[in-house]
Amino acid sequence: MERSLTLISLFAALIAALGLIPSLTLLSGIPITAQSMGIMLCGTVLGAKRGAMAVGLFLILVALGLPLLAGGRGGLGVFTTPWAGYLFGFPIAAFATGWLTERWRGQNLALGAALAAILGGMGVLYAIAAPYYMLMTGEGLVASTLKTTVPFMPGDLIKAVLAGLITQSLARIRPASVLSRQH
Amino acid sequence: MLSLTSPHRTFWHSLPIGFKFGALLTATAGLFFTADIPILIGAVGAAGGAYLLAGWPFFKLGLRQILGVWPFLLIILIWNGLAGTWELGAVIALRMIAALSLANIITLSTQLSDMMQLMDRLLRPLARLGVPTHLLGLAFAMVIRFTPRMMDVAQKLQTAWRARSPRRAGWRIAVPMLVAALDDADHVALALRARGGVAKPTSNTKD
Repeated sequence: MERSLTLISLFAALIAALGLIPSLTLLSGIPITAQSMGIMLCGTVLGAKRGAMAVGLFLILVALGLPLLAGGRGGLGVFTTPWAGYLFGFPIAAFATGWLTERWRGQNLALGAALAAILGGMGVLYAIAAPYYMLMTGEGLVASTLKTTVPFMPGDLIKAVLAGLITQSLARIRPASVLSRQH
Repeated sequence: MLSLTSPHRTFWHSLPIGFKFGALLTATAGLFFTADIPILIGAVGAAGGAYLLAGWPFFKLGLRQILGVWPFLLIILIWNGLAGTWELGAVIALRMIAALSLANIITLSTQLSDMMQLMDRLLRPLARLGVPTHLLGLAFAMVIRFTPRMMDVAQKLQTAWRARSPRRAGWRIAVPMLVAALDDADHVALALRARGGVAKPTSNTKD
């Protein structure tokens, strides 16, 4: 139990630290940060349950007022924007990513983890963020989906592939630490 | 680890957290029930007034938070302007500014310890059912303790990279960061176990 607790806490700290790495800025002025890759990694490395808990812990601390989101953002305010669907979707996306990684039966973990990150870290996340945006703003489904998914897709795709490669590297040097594959 | 609480002590700091939270929930709910632009402008004005009530430095802090979301506001206004639904765009933008500023009053005027106490209060019914809610407090302490450590690891890795390559440190430093997190987790778990573990202490000894 202690190990689960510390793993979850350390990975939450990791997500916070990943917000520090300087972000690239796409043309639309929307920054792509390594933080969402951290969400994917929580799923691919820790598995579904622990990954989701790490992300959930991170979000609670953001809500309590710590500037842990990329750019030093935090507090209750970030949960009031129409884009907060992403925040609420993060733990669910981590769960889905972990769930899929746990069940990958192929030889190539990089491929499996990347696919899990795409379906979970992108697919599930967008599926939550877009309707949330629609509900909060009253705009149409197409407009909402376009605005909430398209700007992030190229960056997220790269991050999903990287998450796969990183998970595979980790499995090679520390096979016992990739909890999503321990069974 | 700095929190976002404002260092200037204001009128809002002295209000009980439960009251502030309840007021925020009511106000935010109210915002979403109206699509009347004059009312929403009034709401934004009221939020601004709430900040001014606490002094000019506090107001500047609040303004900075609003300016932090300018890309989002711009997207909403431009998109709706081009689509011809500028009224909808104005409603969304005004709601967002009002909700954001009101929520941030709480963040700026509440200490982290008070927030944690509120969480503890809210979770007490679950604790009575046997859910180990005391672990959450321990988890909070650990994240707060280890975030600066992980940031330090990231910076050291970036420096080590820059000493060996003209390019910016990329995704490859993520693997050693993960290893650092995993190792720290193992060490801390060992330390916790050495001190008796994290199960809730039962009160079957009377001292």
